[in-house]
Amino acid sequence: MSIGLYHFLGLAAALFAIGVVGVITRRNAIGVLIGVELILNACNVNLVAFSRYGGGLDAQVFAIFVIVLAAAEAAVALAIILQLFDKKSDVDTDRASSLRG
Amino acid sequence: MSIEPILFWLFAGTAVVGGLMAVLLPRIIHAVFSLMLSFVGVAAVYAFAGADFLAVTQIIVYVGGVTVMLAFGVLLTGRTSLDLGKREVRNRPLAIVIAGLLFAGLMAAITASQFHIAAAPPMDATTEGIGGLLLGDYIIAFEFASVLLLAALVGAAYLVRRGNA
Repeated sequence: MSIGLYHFLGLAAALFAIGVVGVITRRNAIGVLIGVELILNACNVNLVAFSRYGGGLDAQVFAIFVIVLAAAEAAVALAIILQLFDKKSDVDTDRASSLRG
Repeated sequence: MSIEPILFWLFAGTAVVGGLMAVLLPRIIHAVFSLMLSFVGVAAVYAFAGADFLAVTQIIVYVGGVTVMLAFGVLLTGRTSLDLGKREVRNRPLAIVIAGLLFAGLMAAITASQFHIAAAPPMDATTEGIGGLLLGDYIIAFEFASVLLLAALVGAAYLVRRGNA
């Protein structure tokens, strides 16, 4: 069986589901960030797959913008996590609850 | 049997196993390096799909940049309550059920869909085409991306100032 579009889409769905597990289960804020990165990668796999099978290069340009956003998001999120650690000496997402109403 | 499926499953397996380890390993620094493995697998999948420029970008930005930054974050936030015997994970059975349902739903949607698949064209270098598009059709988005990166840089530098309110 040769490899086609559906194999790539299945891989992306698997990566997405794995990322969701990370976002839900991790207490460590950096662990949550790891899950988000996996989800963004799943999205990029889809874009590349559709680019290969009839989408043209525009999909790959979009994937580059996703990578740029992911890098910026990781930088800002890490800055927030470091500031949280400074305030609470901890990066447990359950303890970052000062904003609850 | 051609080598193509073997390569694809090798690369996809690397990505999925790395991702699983990244979300399931209890120690966060192990998770960061597993994430690096997963990113390498995804980069190989990009190369397999003929996206050579994206594969190299993935290696440089994710493997060389984001995971190293995450490792720095782990090292700078060391010795938290999560290291002191407290369970690092929560809701794992619930999360696995949710993710399983999500994956089943996505696979059902994918297999039920009829995509207009063009025959995969012969692989060609993509760098020139992407460069042309970035500085042509997508020049506005390209400039906005640079402004976004500048804003993220300034914002991150401001946020980590010590004694910041």
